[in-house]
Amino acid sequence: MKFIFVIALTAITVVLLLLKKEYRSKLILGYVLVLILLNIVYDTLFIHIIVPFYRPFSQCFYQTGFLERGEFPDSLLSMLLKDKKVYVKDDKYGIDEAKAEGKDYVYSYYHMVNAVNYAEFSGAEVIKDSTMNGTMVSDERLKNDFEKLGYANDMFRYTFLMNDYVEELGNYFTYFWYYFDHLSDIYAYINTGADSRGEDISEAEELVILWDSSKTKEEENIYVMTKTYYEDNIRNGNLDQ
Amino acid sequence: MEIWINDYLRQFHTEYFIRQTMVIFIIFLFGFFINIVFDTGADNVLKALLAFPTGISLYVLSGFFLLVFDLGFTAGRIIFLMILTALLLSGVRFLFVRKSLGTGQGERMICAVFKDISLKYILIVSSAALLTALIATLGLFSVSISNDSYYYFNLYSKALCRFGILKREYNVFLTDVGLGAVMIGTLPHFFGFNESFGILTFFNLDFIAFFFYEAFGYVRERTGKVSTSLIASFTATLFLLSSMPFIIASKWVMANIYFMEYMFICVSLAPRLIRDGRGNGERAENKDMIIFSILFIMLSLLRMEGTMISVFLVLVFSTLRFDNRQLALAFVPAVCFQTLYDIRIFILMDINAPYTFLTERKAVLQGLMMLFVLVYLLFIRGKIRFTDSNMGGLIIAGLAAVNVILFIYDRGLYLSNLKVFYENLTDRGGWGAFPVSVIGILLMILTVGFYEKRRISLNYFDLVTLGYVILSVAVSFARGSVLQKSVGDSGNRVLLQAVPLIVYTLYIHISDLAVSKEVISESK
Repeated sequence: MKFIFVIALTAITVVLLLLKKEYRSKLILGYVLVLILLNIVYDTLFIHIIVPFYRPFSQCFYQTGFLERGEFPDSLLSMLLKDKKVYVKDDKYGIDEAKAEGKDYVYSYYHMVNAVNYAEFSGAEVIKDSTMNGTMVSDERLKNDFEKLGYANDMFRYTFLMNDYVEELGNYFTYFWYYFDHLSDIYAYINTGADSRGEDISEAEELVILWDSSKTKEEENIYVMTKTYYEDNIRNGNLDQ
Repeated sequence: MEIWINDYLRQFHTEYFIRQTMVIFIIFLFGFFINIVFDTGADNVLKALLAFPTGISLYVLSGFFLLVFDLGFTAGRIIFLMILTALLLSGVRFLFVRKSLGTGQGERMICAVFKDISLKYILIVSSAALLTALIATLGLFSVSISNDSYYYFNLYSKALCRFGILKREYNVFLTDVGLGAVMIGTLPHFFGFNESFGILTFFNLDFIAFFFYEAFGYVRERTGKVSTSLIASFTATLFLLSSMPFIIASKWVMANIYFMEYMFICVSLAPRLIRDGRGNGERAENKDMIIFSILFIMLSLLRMEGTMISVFLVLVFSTLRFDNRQLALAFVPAVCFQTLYDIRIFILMDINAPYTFLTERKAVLQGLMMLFVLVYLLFIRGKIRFTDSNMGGLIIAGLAAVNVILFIYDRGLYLSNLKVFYENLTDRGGWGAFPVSVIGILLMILTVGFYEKRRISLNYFDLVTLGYVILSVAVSFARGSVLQKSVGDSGNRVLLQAVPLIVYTLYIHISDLAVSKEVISESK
């Protein structure tokens, strides 16, 4: 349709240009202005379908539009973790242990390590606490107190930049395969409510990152909360699921 | 949660806004100083418009130098290198002037260096730059963000800042991502803000002003009429701004926008350097090539295919009246930087990922091509009349031949890529009504030209634009896999980079069509 319109317009313009040379510059100006209008019509109708746009009023990479699509949760998480003390489980797996649970051997290399690397890279001081091993966010707590920030597959996929593994285990392709092909969706959840000290994760100096510790599934969501919330509601509550 | 997130982000708003604005302004001032002191022969408007691209170039080159030589990539060292470079360039400039004036001419030397530069001019330009930086950073202009925007040009940048070196663990990022745009992404992490959208927007605004100024200058030279020039250049700029591919490319936080704008700036500057009216005769001066070289190197650093495009552009520049040494002066730094990088990653770091865009073989091929062009520039150009007279045609023929070879090498892949190019151009690949508008304008130019028996020949911009489009197909083939029907496909984005060139080339022809011989005679 646009092709026919432009060809017809061009044909008319060419005829007029040849017949009315004294109006040449005005005719060309008019022709181009019509093309500009055509551009604007197409932009208005289609551009938002092709690419999403954001107005970065927040001065931050994270845009609230990401929440709806579950995109780039790490761009917000890295801000939340910066300069904080972050407590994590200390439950690294061996290869045999991973295989015994039916998990890929790569799990033993990536489990815990990538999450710790990510937190340290974000500027957090990471403290591994084995007394946290086995603790988990219950379904009820998850439903009432946590909200899904977004997909974490890409967040972990790109932690290859932060790792110290050599050759195949540390390269982009293994990470891509594991987090993009091998695992299904994994998510980052955050607790934005105030804890018993009246602080939320933006205010508290000490945070906790928990991951799922399933003996059957490799997919591990991560959950970010204040340490106070964790001590009050998780440590004394839940066991492995 | 949205409210909580907004409240959380708001606490950083003012600090990040101020920091990013100040970084933009300081980089601008730095580039402005270099352009004033070094006197490229550019008029005062152009010095102001080239300031930010120059400043960004010097930041990127300083950082690149530190990384390639493993000297520790820190903000302090980059700033030190930038200041050192500025002092060296200023010193060279003062030496040149001293040589021409003789000794004991201190005051005259300063006047000679800063001729045509008044305090009023500096204050006006600086104020305009600061105001533009404030507007650019406010968040009024939208941006488009994709996976690559965050992981390649923010997270990778953060890794460079954090670790301070090129690590083997960066893996395919070293072979697939041009360090230039990554380096621009380090500015937020070094100077305490969170994203580089303001920097991108400021660059766009500067570029739009540059495009307008170039378009204005072209018609003004031919008609002498300011009002006609203003209308023509305004219309051309509006056409560019309304074109869907330009809107998408300019707002998308990727390397393509920087490459697009640096490429147009370099292509436009080259004929300017040898244009009449400088008062120095018809040839460029060697010192003019320094700033040009600083801008030209960026093309090799911004994108992995940038080196090949630089090779092509240098050959196109060789059709202009540059000395061989001047062209070599523009090209050698790009060759050096690319070669140093290739040595660093393939020999010293022994990067060996399964699938990469830049492989050792391609790096060697690139190196040989750069060497061949250097040999041509230094030893052959100007000696073989056939080559000198027909270089434009030889370039197009050469590019066409490369495409034929690629077609023979893998017909299936080549044809699949062409098909995808066509599909992206015609169906939601981010091109909108632009392709059909270009066809219409071309038809108009050719039809009127045919009936009026105008001589049809390729001018400099025709050569650049046509050559670039043909090269895009070849470069996309080098990816090794079939292109995808998507606005984000790399081949599609390489072609998007040509939009300002295409618009300007058509503008030149339309202007020539509109400004008939009778009108030109009247104005003279």
